[in-house]
Amino acid sequence: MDFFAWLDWIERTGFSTWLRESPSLLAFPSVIVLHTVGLAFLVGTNIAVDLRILGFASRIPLAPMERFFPVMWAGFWVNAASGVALLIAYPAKAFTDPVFYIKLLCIALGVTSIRMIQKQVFGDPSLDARAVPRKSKLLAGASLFFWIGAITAGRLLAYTATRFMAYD
Amino acid sequence: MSFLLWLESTGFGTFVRESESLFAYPTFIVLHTFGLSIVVGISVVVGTRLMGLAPTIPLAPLNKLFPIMWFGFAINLFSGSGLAAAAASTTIPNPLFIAKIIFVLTAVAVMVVLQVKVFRDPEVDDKPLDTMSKALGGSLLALWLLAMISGRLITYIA
Repeated sequence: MDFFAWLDWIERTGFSTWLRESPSLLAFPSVIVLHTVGLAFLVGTNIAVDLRILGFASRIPLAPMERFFPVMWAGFWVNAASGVALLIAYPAKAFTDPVFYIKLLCIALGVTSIRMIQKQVFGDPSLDARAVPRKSKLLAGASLFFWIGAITAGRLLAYTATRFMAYD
Repeated sequence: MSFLLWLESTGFGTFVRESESLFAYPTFIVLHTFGLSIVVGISVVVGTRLMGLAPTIPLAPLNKLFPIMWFGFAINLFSGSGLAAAAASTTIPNPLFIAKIIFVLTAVAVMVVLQVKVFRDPEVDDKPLDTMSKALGGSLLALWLLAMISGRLITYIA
């Protein structure tokens, strides 16, 4: 089966057709809403942690901010699930758009940066006893950059797509 | 109605709607998403802290996060004005849009009250947090959730 035949097969599944064609608000619109809410929890909370590592509001102790990581990961999983649903609804639209691959790359790097921050920055027992090391600040800056990239690329997908279905 | 049609026909409204450039409508949409993640994300930190998550973070220094929230709100006030002007005659009368604006304005009022009454109080960390402040923290999150839901659905319910 070639690539487009495979995308066409996904588009013909019951779930894909329901997501695209159902007039119910529980179909496509709900998935989009979940993707937006997850984004706010994941990226927004990450922005707060990154800015603190970079030196904003430096009187906030860093160590207890680790409690916000589960909030970020909850946002991530909501978006992984809703993102897969959006992909099932319009697989050809995403896979034929180079911007989609940029978005995926930004997410992979963004997730890696969050994991490294959680392990390296927050795993340091002397975290609040000394100045934030330069390496931690670089990680936080990179994390901000990747998530801004992911949001920009992701939101532009609606305008950069050239093909909507496998066989248009 | 004539005001809304005029708003659509202004240079600003026409540019956002009709320019082929990625700098027009798509950029306003991207900015609106950035602003959202800043305002809502920082509100998640402030709101969940008020509700009891991470109780070892002192409240007073969280006051420093408010300018970041207001910065995100300013981005969305600007980008939102562009998006609303571009489709004024269809968007502004939409009940979902009106609901969204009510949620946003109420959330902004809650932010102001929290900033002035809770976070600028020099003794905020010397006494247990009152129920009102916890409720305001929860309300802020609920209002942003409702604003995001109604806002994102505007595209699908015309």
